[in-house]
Amino acid sequence: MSLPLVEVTDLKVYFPIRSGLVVERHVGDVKAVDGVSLTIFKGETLGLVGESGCGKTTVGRTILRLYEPTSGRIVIDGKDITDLPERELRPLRDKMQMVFQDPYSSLNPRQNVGSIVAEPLLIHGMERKEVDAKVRHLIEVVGLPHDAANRYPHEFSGGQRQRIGLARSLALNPALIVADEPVSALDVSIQAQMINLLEDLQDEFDLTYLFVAHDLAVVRHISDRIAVMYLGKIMEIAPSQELYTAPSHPYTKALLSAVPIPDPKVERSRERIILKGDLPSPVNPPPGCRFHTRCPYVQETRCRTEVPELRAMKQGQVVACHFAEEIADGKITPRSEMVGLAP
Amino acid sequence: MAQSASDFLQGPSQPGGGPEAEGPGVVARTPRQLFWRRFKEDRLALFGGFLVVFMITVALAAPVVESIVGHPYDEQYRDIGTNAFGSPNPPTGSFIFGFDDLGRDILVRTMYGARVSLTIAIVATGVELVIGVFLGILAGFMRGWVDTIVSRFIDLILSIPFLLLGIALSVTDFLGGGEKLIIFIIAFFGWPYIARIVRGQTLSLREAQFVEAAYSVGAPTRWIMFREILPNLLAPILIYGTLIIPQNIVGEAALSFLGVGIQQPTAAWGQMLAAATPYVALGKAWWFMLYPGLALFITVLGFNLLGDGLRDALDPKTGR
Repeated sequence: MSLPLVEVTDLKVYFPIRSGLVVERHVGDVKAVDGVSLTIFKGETLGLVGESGCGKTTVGRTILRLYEPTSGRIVIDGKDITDLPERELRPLRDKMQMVFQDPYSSLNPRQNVGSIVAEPLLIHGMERKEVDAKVRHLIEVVGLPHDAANRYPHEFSGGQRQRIGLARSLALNPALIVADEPVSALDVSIQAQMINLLEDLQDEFDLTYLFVAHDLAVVRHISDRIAVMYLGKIMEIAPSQELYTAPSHPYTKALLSAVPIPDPKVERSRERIILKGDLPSPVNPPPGCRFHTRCPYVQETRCRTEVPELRAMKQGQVVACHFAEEIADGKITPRSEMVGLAP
Repeated sequence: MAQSASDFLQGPSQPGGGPEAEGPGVVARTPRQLFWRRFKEDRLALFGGFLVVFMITVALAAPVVESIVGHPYDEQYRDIGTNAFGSPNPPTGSFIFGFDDLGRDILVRTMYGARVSLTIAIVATGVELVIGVFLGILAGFMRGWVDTIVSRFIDLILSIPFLLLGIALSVTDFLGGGEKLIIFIIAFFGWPYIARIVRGQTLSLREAQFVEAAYSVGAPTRWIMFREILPNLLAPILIYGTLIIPQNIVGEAALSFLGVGIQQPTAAWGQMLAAATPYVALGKAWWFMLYPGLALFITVLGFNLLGDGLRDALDPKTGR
C-alpha cells in the first residue's frame, strides 16, 4: 500500500429539514454523516459497510461531490476539492467515477449503449474518431457482446446493464471508483461474476475502489480494508482479515454475529448478539457514543457522556470504543439479555 | 492481465443470456420498432392518419383544383352565384359545392381555407412547443426562483381571457393583423399547457440516476437538459403536440368567425361559417355552411384520432 489517494477529514453532511406552509423555516438537520475521517490508499479497495441509513452512501457520494459537504475536507490526489466550484470541479471529474446501485435507472433508456459509454468521452472533448475505437474497446473489456453498442439498455439483463454502467465509469480512465452497492440489485450468481470483473479491472486499470455495501460476505471478498459505519460515524476500520476474525468494536461484533453460518449444527448452537430496538434518529443522535443505546457492552456514564475518538489498536485496526481493550481481554462481557441463540 | 480478464469474461457472459443467446423467434426491437408495431394495429389511429393526410392533400391541391375548374377563389360570379335577393345559389354545373354570399366558388374557397387552417395550426403549435418545452425544462430542472417565475407567469397568462384579448388586439395594428396575429394569440395562450406538462416530467426525470450519472462524469447543465432529459420527453411532446393541433384549428376558426385576423378575400373556415350563419338561420343555403363545417370536422377528428393513437402506441401504460 502506497500513497493516499483520498483523504477525508472530519466530513459532515447535514440535510436540512424545512417546514412551514408559506415561509420555510429550518427546523433541524438529518445528520447523515457526522464527522467521518478516512483515507483510501492508491490501488486498494476500501469496503464501507453499515446498516441502511447509516450514511455510507452519503459518504461515497460526497467524496465525488454529488452531495455538498456541510463541513470537513475532501482531498483527492493531493487536491482539495471540498469547496471547488462546479465549473472547476468538472474537468477533475474524470479522475473519480461512480458505479450506481440500480442498473435499471442509471442508464438513459433513450440512448443506445454506444452513446451511453461515449458520453463521458464527448463531454471531456475527445475526437469522434477516437471515441468510437475507445467505446468498442470498453465494451469488450467489460465483457459485453460486440454488437452491444447499437442496442438499447432495455435489451440487456441486470448484470449486463451493470457492465454497461461500469464501461461508462471506466471511459475516462479514473483513478478512483466509488461503487455504491454495485451488486446488491443482482442475482447471487451474477454477483460473483461482477465482483470478479471488478477485481480484474482493478488490476488492469490500477483502480482504487471505495466499495459501499451492506452484504458482509461480498465486502469481505473484495476489500483490503473495511470501514464500519453506524449512524453517521465510523466505528471501526481494519484490514478485512482482522475485522472478520477479531472484530474490536461491539457494533462490528453484532453485525458479524448476524451473518448466518452455512452449517445447521453450528448455526443452531451459535451465540448471537441481538441488537434491540431501532436505529436512533439521525436528526437527534444519542449523546456520547452513538451506539450506547443498543450496545450489549455499555458501561456506566462514560459511554453516555463522552464521544469515543477513533484510536489505533494492534494490527492496523482503528476503533472508536472506550473499552475496546477490556472487551478484547474478556474483562467486560455482554449483558446476558442481549445475547441469545440464533432464532 | 488483459488476457485473463477477457478469458474470464468470455465464459460466464454467454449463458447469462446475451442478445445472441436469445432463442429463435425472439428479436430485440428498438423503441421505434415497438411503436410502429403497436401503431399499425390501431385502426382508428390509421383512419385518423388517413384523414390528416387527406386534408393536407386538399390544402396542397387547392391551386390545382382552382385551375382545373377555372374559378379563382376570389372571383365573384354575382350573375349566376346569387339570386335576385342576393342570397347564394345552390350547387350547379362545375360549381359542385355551390356559391357563397358574394357568388364565389365554395369548393375552391374551402380548399384554400384548409391551407390557412393547417398553416396557422401547425405553425402556432410549433411555436408553442418551442417556448413551452424550453421554459418547462428550465423551470423543472432549475427549480427554485426560475421555477417560481415561470410557474407564476403561466398562471398569469391563463387568467387572461383568450377571446377577449384576441378581439381587443384585432382592432389595434398589432403585428399587422392577419395570420401573424392569430398565430401569436394562439401560441401565447397555448404554450403554458405544454410548459406545465414538460415541467412536471422534468421534475421527475431530473431525479433519475442516469441524470446523476451524467452529472458525475462532468456534464454541463445544458448537456443534461437537452441530451439526457429532452429525449425522454419526446413521447409526451409528440402526443401533446398532435392533440393540440385540432385545438388550435378550432381556436383559429373561432377567431376568424369573430372577424379577428384573416381578412377578405382570403378564405378561412371560421370566416365562411360566420358569413353563412344569417342565411342558414333563415333555412337557406345549407351548402354554404355544410362544406367548410365538414372540412373543419374532418380535420379536427383526424388529428384527434391520430393523437390518441400516438399516445397509445408510445405509452401503452396510459390511455385505455
